[in-house]
Amino acid sequence: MAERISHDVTPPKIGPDAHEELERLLQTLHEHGVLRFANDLVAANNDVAEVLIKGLNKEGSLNVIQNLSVLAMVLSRIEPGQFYKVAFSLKDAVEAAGRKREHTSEEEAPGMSGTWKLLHDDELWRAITPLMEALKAFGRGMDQDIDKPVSHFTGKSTSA
Amino acid sequence: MKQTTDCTISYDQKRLTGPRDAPLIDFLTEQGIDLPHVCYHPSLGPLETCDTCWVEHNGELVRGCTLRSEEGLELRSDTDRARAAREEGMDRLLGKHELYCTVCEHNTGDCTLHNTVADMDIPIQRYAFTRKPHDKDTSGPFYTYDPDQCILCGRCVEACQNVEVNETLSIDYSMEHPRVLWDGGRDIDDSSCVHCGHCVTVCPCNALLEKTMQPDAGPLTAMPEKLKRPMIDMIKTVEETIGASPITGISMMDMAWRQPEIKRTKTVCTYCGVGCSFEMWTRDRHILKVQPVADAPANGISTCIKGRFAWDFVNDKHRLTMPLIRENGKFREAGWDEALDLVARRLLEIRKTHGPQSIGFIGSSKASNEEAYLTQKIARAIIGTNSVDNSSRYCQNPATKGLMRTVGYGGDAGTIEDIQKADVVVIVGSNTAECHPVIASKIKAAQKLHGQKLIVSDPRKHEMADRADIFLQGRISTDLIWASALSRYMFDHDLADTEFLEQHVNQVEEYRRSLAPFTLEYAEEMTGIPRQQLIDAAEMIGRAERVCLLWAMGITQHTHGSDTSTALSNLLLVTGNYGRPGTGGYPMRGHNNVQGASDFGCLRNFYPGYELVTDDAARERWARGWGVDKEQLSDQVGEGNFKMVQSAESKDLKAMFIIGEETAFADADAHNVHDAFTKLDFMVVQDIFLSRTAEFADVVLPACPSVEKEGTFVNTERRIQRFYEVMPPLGDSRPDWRILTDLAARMGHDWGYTHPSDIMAECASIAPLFAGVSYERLEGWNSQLWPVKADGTSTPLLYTDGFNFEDKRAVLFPLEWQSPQEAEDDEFDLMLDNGRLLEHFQATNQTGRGPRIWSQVPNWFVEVSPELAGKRGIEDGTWVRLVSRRGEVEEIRAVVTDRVRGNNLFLPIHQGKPGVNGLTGEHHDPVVDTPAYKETAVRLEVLPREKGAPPLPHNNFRYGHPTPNEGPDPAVKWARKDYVEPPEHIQHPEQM
Repeated sequence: MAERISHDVTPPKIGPDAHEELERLLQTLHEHGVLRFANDLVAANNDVAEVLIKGLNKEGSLNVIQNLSVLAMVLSRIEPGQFYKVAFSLKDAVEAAGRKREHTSEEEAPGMSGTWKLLHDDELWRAITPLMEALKAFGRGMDQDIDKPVSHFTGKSTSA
Repeated sequence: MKQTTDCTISYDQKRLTGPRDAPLIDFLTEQGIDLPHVCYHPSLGPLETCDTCWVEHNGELVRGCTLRSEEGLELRSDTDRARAAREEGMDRLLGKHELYCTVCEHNTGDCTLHNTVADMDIPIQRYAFTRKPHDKDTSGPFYTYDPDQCILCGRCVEACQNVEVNETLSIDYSMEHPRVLWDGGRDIDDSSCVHCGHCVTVCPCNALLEKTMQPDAGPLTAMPEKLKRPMIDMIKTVEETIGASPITGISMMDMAWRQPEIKRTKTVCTYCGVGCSFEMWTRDRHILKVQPVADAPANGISTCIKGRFAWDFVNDKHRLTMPLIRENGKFREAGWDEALDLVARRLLEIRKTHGPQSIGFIGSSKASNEEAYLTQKIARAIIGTNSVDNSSRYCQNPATKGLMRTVGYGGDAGTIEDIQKADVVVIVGSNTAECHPVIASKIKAAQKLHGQKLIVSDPRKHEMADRADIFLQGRISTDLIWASALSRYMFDHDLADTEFLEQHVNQVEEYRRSLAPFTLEYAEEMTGIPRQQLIDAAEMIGRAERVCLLWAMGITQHTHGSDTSTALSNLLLVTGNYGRPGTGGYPMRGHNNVQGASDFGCLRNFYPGYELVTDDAARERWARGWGVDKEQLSDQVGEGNFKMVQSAESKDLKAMFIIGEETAFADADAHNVHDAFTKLDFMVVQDIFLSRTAEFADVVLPACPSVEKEGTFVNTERRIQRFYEVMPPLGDSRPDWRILTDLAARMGHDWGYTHPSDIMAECASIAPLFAGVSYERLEGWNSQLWPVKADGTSTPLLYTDGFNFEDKRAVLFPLEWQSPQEAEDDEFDLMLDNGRLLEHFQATNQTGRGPRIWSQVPNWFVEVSPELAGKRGIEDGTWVRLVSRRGEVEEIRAVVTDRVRGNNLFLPIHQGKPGVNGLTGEHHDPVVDTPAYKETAVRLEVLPREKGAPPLPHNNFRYGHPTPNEGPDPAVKWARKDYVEPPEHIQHPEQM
C-alpha cells in the first residue's frame, strides 16, 4: 500500500489575467470595428484635419470659438455660487419674460405722481436707456415666431 | 497655345479657352471649374433630370448640361437667379433622398450626390425628405435598389437602354410615385436583368449599390438598423438648429478617413477576350466592388456579369496554396524547394532519356503574356522542343489561319471602335451577347442609336439573331457555302470592289473561277437559307460603305473551320472591306489572353511575334537573344495540345507541363484525354485550383490569379494592357512568372527576372512585332496595339498601308466546300450545338465558386426545339439521355425553346463530369488540328422518370420581358401640372 501523500493541487486559474483581458479587449475592439476606425482615422489624419480646419476657419466658426473662449474666461473668474444665482435668475427672468408675453389684467401702470418723478431723474434715464433699448430689442426678438432656428439664422425656410 | 479646334467662351466674365464643341460641364472641369451637376455623366450625356446645373445664357436660365462649347459663348453662373435655381434643383433632389452620408456605404469619395451637396454648401434643405411607398429591392444576388434613396435622375435607365442595351430599366415620370422599374415593375431577380452592373456603375448615389459594399464599406456603416435609425433621426433634429454645414463637414471627414483602407487598383478582366479593364476596390482581401471607368480603352464603363461580379473565386477556400506531390496514391503538401527541385530533376531526366520531343508544354490563355513567354522559353531554350501550345488550338487557330492565308496577320483587323463605326456588322457563328457581352452592347447601341445594320448567321436564334435585320438560320457546317455564294454574287452583280481588288489583291481570277459552283441555288439547297435572304444579305453587304465581319467558335470548331474562316475573309476582300476605319475581319477571341498566349509564342510553329520556328534567321536571332546556341533551338514544328494528348496516349510523349488550362475538360473526347494522362511518366500542373486536369498530375504548383500579380494581357483587338497587383498572393501561392523563373534557375538557366517588366523588355528587344512595347508606355489606362513600332507607335487599324505579305498585297484564297466529318444518321439523328452561357466561363473553375452565379443557372440542361419536343413529348424539366458515338450524358433535363430549331440541340459547355466532351470526338480540322466540337451527332432518349422542375429557374434573365424605350424622358416630368422650373418652389418634389 502506498504511503499517504499530502499534495496541494496547482490552483486552477479562475478568471482572465491582465494579458487575457487585453487580448479580449483587442478582439472586441477589432470585432466592433473600433480598431479599424482608429486605423482609418490615424492614417487619414491630415485629410480629416484639413476638412476640419477648412470648416472651422470661417468667420462664423471663428466667432463661435472666440466667444466660447470668452465665456470660458468669464466662467473661470466667477465663483460658482454667484454664477448659480445669475444662471438661475436668468432662467427665472427668461421664464418671467416668457410669461410676460401673456397679458394679464393684474399688470398695473405706475401712478401719475410716480411717473412724473421718474421723468425728471436724468441719472436714472441715463442708466435705463440702454436697458430699455436692450429690452426693446429683446421684446422685438421675443415677438418673432421662430419655427426652426436654422431657418431664422440662414433666412431659408425648411420643412426638413 | 490655342489650337484650331479650340474656342474661347466667357464664363462669369472670365475668358476660358478649350476644346470646341465639348460638353460645357466637361469643358469647365478641364478648366478646374465645377458647375454643379448630378444627372450628367460623360459617358451618358445630358439627361436634364436633376435641375442642378442652371446657368444664364442670353438672359435666360438654361440647363448647363445641354450646352456645348462654342466661340463667343457667354454664360453667367454667379447670378442670384442661377444660384437659386441650382439650389432649388438640389433641394428637390434631397426631398427624394435621405442624407445620412457618414453611415452610408457609398460615401467612399465617388458619390456624386454627396460631393455636389458639399460643393454647393447648402445651408439647409428646403424640402423634408419624404419616403416613397416602395420597398428596397434586395432580390438579386449582386446589387440592391432602394427607391427611398433614388433621385430619379435616370442615369441607370439611360445606361441600361442605350449603353448596355438590355432594355430592362425604365422610369415613368407620370406615375404618382415614380421609381425605376425592372421589366415594367418586376423584382430585379425576376426580370430580364443580365447583371451587367451598368446601372450600379452610373448611379450617382446609393440607390443602386453592390451587395459586396453592404453593410461595412465604411467604418461606421455596419451598425444595426435599430441604432442607425435613431442616430440619423437625432442628427436630423440637430440639423434643424445648426444647419447642414457641420453635418456635411462630418461626412467629408468620414469620406477622408475611409480612403486609407480602400485600395483602388487597375486590373484587366480574366474572362472573355474583350479586355475590359476597370478599378478593383478592395479593403484588405475583401473585394468591395469592381468600378468601371470611362478611361478604360476597350470597354469604357461597360462590363458583364462575370467581369463585374464573378470574383468570389479569388478568396475561395479551395484555392491551392501549397505545392502538392503525388505519393502513394495521394497528394502530399510540400514546400516550394522540394516541389521545384523534383519538377526540374524529372524534366531533365526525361529529356536526357527520351529526348526533347518527349516533353510537351501547354501555356495558359488566362495567364499573362510574360508567363506565356516564359513557358515557351523553357520549352524551346531549356528543353529544346517546339511542342508548346495554348487553348487557341481548341478554338481560335482556324480563324488565325484564315486571316494569315488572306491578309497576313492573325488578329482582329481593327478595334471595337471600328466595329461601332461600321454600316453593316455581320456576325457568324458567334453568340456575341453571351460570349463577348460588352462588344455585343456596342453593336446593339450602334444599331439602336445610329442605324447600323446587323446580319447574323447562326443555327441558334440567340439574342443577336433576334435583333438582326437579316437572320440566316442555315444548316450546321454550311457557312463556307453561303459566304462563297455571296462572294460570287458580288462579282456577278457588280458589287465587288474591283478597284480595291486590282490595287491590293492577288489571285483574283483564280479565286473567281473557284466560285463557279457557288450559285444562289446551290447555296439555298445546301444551307437551307432561302435564296431571297441570301440576296438581301449580299445586297446589304455589297452596297455598304463599311462592313465588319465577326466570327467565333460556330465557325472554327468544325472539321473545315480554317476554310470557312478563309471564306469569310475572302468575302471581305471581294467587297473591299479591309484597311479602312469601320471595316475588317474580327475573330472574337474567347479567353482574356488567348490572343496574347499565341502572340507571345505558345504555339507549336511560332516564336513570339509570329516568327516561324523553321525560319533560320529568326531562330538565330532568338538564340542570340536568349543567350543559347542556335542548335539548342529545335527547327522542327512541334505538336499542338490536341496532338500532344494523342502522343501521350501512344506513349510517345512522356511528360507534360500544363499551366492554367483545364485540358481534361476542354479537349474533345474527354475519356481518351483522361486515358492519355494516366499514361504519362510525369505530369506537372500549375493552377489556382485543383482542377480536373490537376487531379492527374504528379506535382501541382499553386499559382496566382491575375489580381495577385502584375503583367499584361492582349485582348481580341490586339490591345496590350497592364494589370496591377490588387492584393498579395494567397497563402504560399506564387505568380506563374516567378514559378517559371525559379524553375528555370533550377534547370541551370538563371534568367534573373525580378519583375514582369524585365520579361516584356527582353521580348520587345527580340520580337519586331513588339519592338516599342514597354511597361512605361502601358502605365495606367494606356495601351498599345501590335504591331508596335520601336518608337511606341501602335497600329489600331491593320492594313492601312498594305497587307502583311512581302508584296503588301492580300490573297483571295480559292476553296472547295467539304462535307463535315460527322453528321447525323438514323442512329444519331440530332446535331448537338454547344457553347457558353453568359453567366459562366468554361469549366466553372472561376465562376463556379460561391452561390451567387449558381443562383442564376443552378443546373445543366439541353435546349430542345418546340418541334422536336412536340414529336417526342418533351417539356421543360423532362429528363433525357444524350448518346453520341463516343459516350453519353446519362441524365439531363430539357429546356424547350425556340432558340434552337428542328433537330438541333444546344448543350452548355460548363457543367457535367466529364461534360460535353464526353460526347465530342477527335475528328478535327486537318490544317490546324482544332477539334470539331460543333460537329457532334447525338441520339436523345426520353428517360422514363417523372419530369423535374424546369432546369432554368424562373429568375433567369432568359425568361424576362424587356421594356425597350429611348431612355429617361424628362419631357414627361416637365409636362406634369405640378412641375415648375426652378427657382420656383414646388409642393411634392418626391413625386418627380
